[in-house]
Amino acid sequence: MDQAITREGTIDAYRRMTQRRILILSVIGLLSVLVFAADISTGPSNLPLKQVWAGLFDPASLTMPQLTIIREVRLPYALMAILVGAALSLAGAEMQTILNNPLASPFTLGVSSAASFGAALAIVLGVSLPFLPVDWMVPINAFLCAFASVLLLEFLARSRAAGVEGVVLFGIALVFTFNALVALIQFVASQEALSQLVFWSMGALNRATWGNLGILALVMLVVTPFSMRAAHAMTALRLGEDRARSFGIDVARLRFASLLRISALAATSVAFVGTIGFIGLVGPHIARLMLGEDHRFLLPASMLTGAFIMSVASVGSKILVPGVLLPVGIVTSMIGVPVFLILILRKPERV
Amino acid sequence: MRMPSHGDALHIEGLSTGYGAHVVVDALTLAPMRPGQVVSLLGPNAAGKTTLLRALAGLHHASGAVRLGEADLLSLPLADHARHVTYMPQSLPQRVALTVLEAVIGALKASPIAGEPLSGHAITGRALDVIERVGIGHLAMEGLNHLSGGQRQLASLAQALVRQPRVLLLDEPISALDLHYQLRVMKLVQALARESGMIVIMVLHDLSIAARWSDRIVLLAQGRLVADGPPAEAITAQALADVYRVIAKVRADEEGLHIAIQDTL
Repeated sequence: MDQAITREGTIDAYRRMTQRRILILSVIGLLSVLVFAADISTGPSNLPLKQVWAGLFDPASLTMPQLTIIREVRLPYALMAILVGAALSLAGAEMQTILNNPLASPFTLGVSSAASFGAALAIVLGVSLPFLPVDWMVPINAFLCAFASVLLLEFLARSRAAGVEGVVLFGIALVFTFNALVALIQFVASQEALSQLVFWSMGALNRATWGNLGILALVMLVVTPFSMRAAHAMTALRLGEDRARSFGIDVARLRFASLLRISALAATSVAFVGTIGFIGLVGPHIARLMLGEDHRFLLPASMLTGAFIMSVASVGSKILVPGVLLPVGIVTSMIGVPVFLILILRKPERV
Repeated sequence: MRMPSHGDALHIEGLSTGYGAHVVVDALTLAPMRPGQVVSLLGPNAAGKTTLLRALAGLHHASGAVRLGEADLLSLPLADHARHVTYMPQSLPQRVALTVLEAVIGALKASPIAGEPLSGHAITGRALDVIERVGIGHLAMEGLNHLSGGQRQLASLAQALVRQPRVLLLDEPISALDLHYQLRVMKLVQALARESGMIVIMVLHDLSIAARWSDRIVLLAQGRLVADGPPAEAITAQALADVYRVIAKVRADEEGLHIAIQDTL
C-alpha cells in the first residue's frame, strides 16, 4: 500500500487525467485532418495538395477537368471516408457496451451483412416507395434489415441461456446467413445490377456523391447528440446491468435506443460504401486503450479514431498498388487484422 | 404521494416473487425495519435471498407490498426507486477500463439522487469521501481491471454507498475480502446506518459475523421465513438444524454469540 497518495494528490491526478484525455482527443482530431489533407491530395490523376487547395479557394486557376476531379471525386471520397469511419466506429463502441462484448461490431456480428442484404434487395429488385427516390430506398431497406438483425442479437443477449459466447456465435451465424442470401441475390441478378453489387460488397468509396454524403451527415447529426446524452448511462452499464438498473437506469430502453442508433449508423454506411470490416471493432478498442471507458470521452474518441483509420485506409487504397484504386474495404481489413492482433496479444495497458 | 424521509421504516408485507410459475419467495411478511437497523439475510443456497434483494431493489417483478414510510416502492418507476434504494450485486464487473474514482462518480451521475443536485466539484469530493472510508483511497486512480477481487468488492461497495440511499441492499458484500476488511466493512456499514438512519439489508454466509454485526437476523429457507429477530433469538441450534441441516452448538454470553458447527445432519 502506498500511503503517500493523498486526497489532494488524487484530485490533482484526476484533473490531469481529464486534461490528458482532452489533449488526446485533440491530437487524434488533428491527425485526422492531416490524413484528410493527404487523402484529397492523392489519386490516380496527378493533383497534389497545393493544386487541390487552389481548386477549393481559387477555382479559376485550374482547368475544368481538374476542378471536376476535385469536386466530384477527391472531396466526396475523402469526406465519405471520414464520415463512414466515424459512424461505424461509434456504432461499434455502442454495440460493445450495450451487448457487453468486446468482439461486438456491426461487421463481426452480422449487422453489416444484414444491411448488405437489405440494400442488395433494393438494388436488384428496384423496389421503392412511391414518394421516395431510389437513393433513399437503399439505405432505408438496409436499415430495416440491420435493425431486424440487431433486435435478434439483443433478444439473444438478454435471454438467460446465451452468454457472451452465444451472442458471438449467433452473430457469426447471421454473417453467414446474410452473406449466403446476398450471394443468392447476386446469382439471380442482372448483369448490370451484379457489377454494382460485387464492387459494393467489397466496400468502396466510389459511390460517394454529395447527395449520399448529405444523407450520412444528416444521420450522424441526428444520432450523435443522442449517443452523447446516453454517455453517463452507458458508463454506468459497464459496471453491470443490475447495478446500472439499481442506479435508476432503464437498461431496456437504453439498449433499444442504442440499437436503433447502431442500425441507422451501420445501415447508412453500408448502403453507401458497402461492407467495411474492422473499423467498428478496431476504432473503439484503440480509443478505449487510450482513454478508458468513460463514455463521455470514449464515444467521441471512437468516432475520431474510426475516421482517422478509414482516412488512412482511403489513402492506402490509392497508393498501395500504383495506378490502381483498390476497394477500400480490402485495405481496412488488411490494416485492421494486424492492428487487431496486436491489440489482443499485448499486455493490458494501464488506464 | 409523500416522499420518504429520514424517519421512515421499511415494511415488507405479503411479498411474493419468482420466475414464471416457480415461486422463489412466498408471501413473505417481516416486522417493519426501523431506520438505522442492520438486517442480515441468512439461509442455505437457493433460499431466495438474492431474489428477495433484487425484488426489493425493483429489479425483479414482485407482488405484495414494500413500503418505505407511505411510499409504495413496488409501484415506483426505476428512476424514482433509485432515489431511495441502492443495490450492490454479488457479481463484480471485470475488465472494465474505469478507475475506482470514475466508477464511483459514475454511480452518482447515473441518475438523480435524493436531495439537492451536486456540482461537479462536490461530486468528486463525495466520491472520494466514500472511497477513503471504505479504505481504498490509495487506489482511487487505479483501474478496476487492475484490482484484486477483494479490492474490486470494496470499490463496488463504494459505488453503492456514494448514493446515500435510505435503504441499502448488499448481496454478499464481504465474500471476497480478507478478515481485516470483512470486519472493517461490517463496522463501516453499521456506523453509516447509525449516523444516517439508513436501513441496511444484506445477504451474508458467515453466521458469526452476521451475529456479531447485525441488529436483526432474518433466516430464510425455500422462500419462507424461518426466524426473524435479534441474533441470539434467531440463531438457535434448532433453527440451524432446520435450515442448514447441520448439528451446531450455540452459546450466548457477554461476549456475544458462539456458534460451533459440528457435523452435517
